[in-house]
Amino acid sequence: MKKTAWILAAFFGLVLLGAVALNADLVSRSRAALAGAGISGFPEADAARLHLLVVLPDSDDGYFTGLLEGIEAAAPEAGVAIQVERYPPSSPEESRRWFEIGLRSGVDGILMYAARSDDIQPYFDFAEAAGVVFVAVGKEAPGGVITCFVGSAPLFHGFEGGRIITGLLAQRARIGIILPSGGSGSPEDDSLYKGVAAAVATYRGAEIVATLRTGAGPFAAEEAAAVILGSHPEINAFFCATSRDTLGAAQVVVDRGLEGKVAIVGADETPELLRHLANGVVAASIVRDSRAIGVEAVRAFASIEAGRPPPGVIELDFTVRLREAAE
Amino acid sequence: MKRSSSLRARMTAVTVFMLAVVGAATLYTGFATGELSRSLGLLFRRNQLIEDIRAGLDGASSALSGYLSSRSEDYLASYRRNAAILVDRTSHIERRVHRDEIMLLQRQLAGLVGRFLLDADAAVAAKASGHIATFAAGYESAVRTVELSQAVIERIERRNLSASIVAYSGFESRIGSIVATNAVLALAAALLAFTVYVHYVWGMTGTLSTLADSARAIARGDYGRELPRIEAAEELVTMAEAFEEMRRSVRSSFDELKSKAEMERRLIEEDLRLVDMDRKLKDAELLALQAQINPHFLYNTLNAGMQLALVERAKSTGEFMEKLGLFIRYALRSPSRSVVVADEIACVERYVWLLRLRFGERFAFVIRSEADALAVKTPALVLQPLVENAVTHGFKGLERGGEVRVSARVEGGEVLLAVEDTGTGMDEATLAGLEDEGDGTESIGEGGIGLRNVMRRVRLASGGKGRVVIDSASGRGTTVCVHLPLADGAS
Repeated sequence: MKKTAWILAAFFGLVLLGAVALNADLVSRSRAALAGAGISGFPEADAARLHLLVVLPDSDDGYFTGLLEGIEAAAPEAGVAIQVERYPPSSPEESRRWFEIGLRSGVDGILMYAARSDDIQPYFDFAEAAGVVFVAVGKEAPGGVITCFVGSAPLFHGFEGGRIITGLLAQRARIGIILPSGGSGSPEDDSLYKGVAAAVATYRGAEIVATLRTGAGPFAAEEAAAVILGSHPEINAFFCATSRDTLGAAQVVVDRGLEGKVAIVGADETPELLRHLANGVVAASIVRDSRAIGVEAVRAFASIEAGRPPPGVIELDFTVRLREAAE
Repeated sequence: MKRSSSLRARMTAVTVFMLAVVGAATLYTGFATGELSRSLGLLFRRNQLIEDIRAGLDGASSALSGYLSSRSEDYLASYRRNAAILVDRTSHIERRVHRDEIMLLQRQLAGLVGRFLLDADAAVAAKASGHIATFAAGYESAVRTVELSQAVIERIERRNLSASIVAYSGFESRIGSIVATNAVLALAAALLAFTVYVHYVWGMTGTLSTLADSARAIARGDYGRELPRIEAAEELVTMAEAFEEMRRSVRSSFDELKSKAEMERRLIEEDLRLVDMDRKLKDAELLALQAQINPHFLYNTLNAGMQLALVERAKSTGEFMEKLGLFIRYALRSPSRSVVVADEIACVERYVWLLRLRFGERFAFVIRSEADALAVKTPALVLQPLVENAVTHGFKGLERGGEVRVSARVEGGEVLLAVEDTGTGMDEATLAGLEDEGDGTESIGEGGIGLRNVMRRVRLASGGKGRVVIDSASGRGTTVCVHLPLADGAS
């Protein structure tokens, strides 16, 4: 009886202690889950050195997804905590408001998307006056004196696209260009167009048949592709400068059963685009490494914050994805 | 018996332990529940803080506007009050940079509030000094900052709500586990306390039960049942030891009483035996005494007859008178006296001489004795009555041819005095009747002391160690053998 009693007592004692420990852990974790962060005394999140406000359009374009990935990837190494604020592309004033919030609240830096047509000179000036580092990112450097811009070279992008198309179709090439939304001025002034035109010019007989800039909606590229094909049925190639526009054009080609008859040279490498690449609907994709742009942008910010001179315009290279590589 | 701490101390300790375990478990569950309840408040603490900042900004902005418009001290006081609230509330916001969305937004908000206060204070100072453009610019900047702050607050509250929902989901998902562990904890505490309680109670009541069994055994008269070894509280061990001592004492007393009773019984028996012996001896003496009718007269008369026979030259008559006188003198003395075997043999020889006178050569008599038997003590008149019985009863109806053999020998630590005849023997009924020695009042019969008398005297004289063995059967003759122990001799 004595031995049994002690064994039972030891067992129940262990169960009691285990239950207390487990209960205490659960209560602690529950409390921690509820406590959250932001109030002094509960700094549970990782500490960082610099506060970087990132302002980007809230677009389904894969370019921005890659851009954000690169920014988030480079942040820890640079000791940066990023605050991402996304605004509807149809409400650009939102971006200006966040820029102003950043300046007045005393963040260490602001990283903002700027379209080619944006006047970002004042942003650099205001930021400098407020002692805040400002880095612009985009697909093509806007005009004006740029203290720090990280993007890609649209001229070379367009040239590469034209080269691929003429390489496929030679003098038979009848090209329709779909330019991304957001630009201003005539399409022929666009660096992308100029690049394509430069490549096409090397092939006598090949020509750019139509050029259209898409609108802001999600199906704008489809509309543009349909309009171009409708008015120019001889078109046998499309050049698109964004993944969204590429998918839109691909959809129109598939819907009309023109696979193999109309080549598409697109941009970037979203999963859907890679699938079209593998199926042969898209002949090639010029990948602007938006992730690399994001990484480089954070590094530029950290460099300027450290006291180094601003690097000016940084244009990163691109890669070409072909059907074989996609498979 | 092994003693442990006192019963009171043990019971107190067990009770305290039980209360402590159950109480601690209850307190802990209450504490944990309280913690969880308070934790829920954390969900809203952030929101409450932001709400206070919002209210502070609104109040300060409104007061600033009022002061700048009217320069009222009340507005100024209100502004200062709200400014102080803002300073206090924003002091709770973590200013260091952390990789957390909400923390960064809050840090931004704190920065905006700081900017607002700078602009507002500058506007107030400019108002006091009368610089309209300055305070107007400051006011506009302050108002703009408040607008931007509202945007940030809105963003924070949206993110807080999402985070709170996620946090609450995490909290809610653990509630079930917390309740379960609370239940297990309470149950384990209760079982632990119960186990310890049962163990100690079992031990205590086990001892009492053992004592009760022993008490019942004693009540039944079983004093031999020893109390088993007890390991218990001091008081119980004291009780057990006292009980065991009592049992031993009672048993010892009973044994002593029993022993005394046995001894008394033996003493009484011995006394009775001695009294009986004495009475029988006295009876025998009386019997003999009765038979001793003036032995001196008989002896003197027989001597006178012997003298007359000698004078008248009647030699045979004179020898007869002498031998008869000697026999009578031997026979009429106290039968309880002790003589030697040689004397008995001499008496038998004289008796046989006298019988020969009467019966002539009708019967033969053989007398043998061993030398080492002659000096042994024996009661008197043991052999002669046996020879008399052999002739009287054994040869009854027998004209001639009977033989009587008398022997005295030592054998097996005893002296054997035997009388064997070739007479008619005794049947079983007669033999069985002789086994009863009687009470000593039997009549002597035809001229001698009876066989029963001889048997009784032999037993009494030898302290019960002597005996008379009769071997007889109808038509086979009779052998009567007197066994007397040599160690005591016959007395």
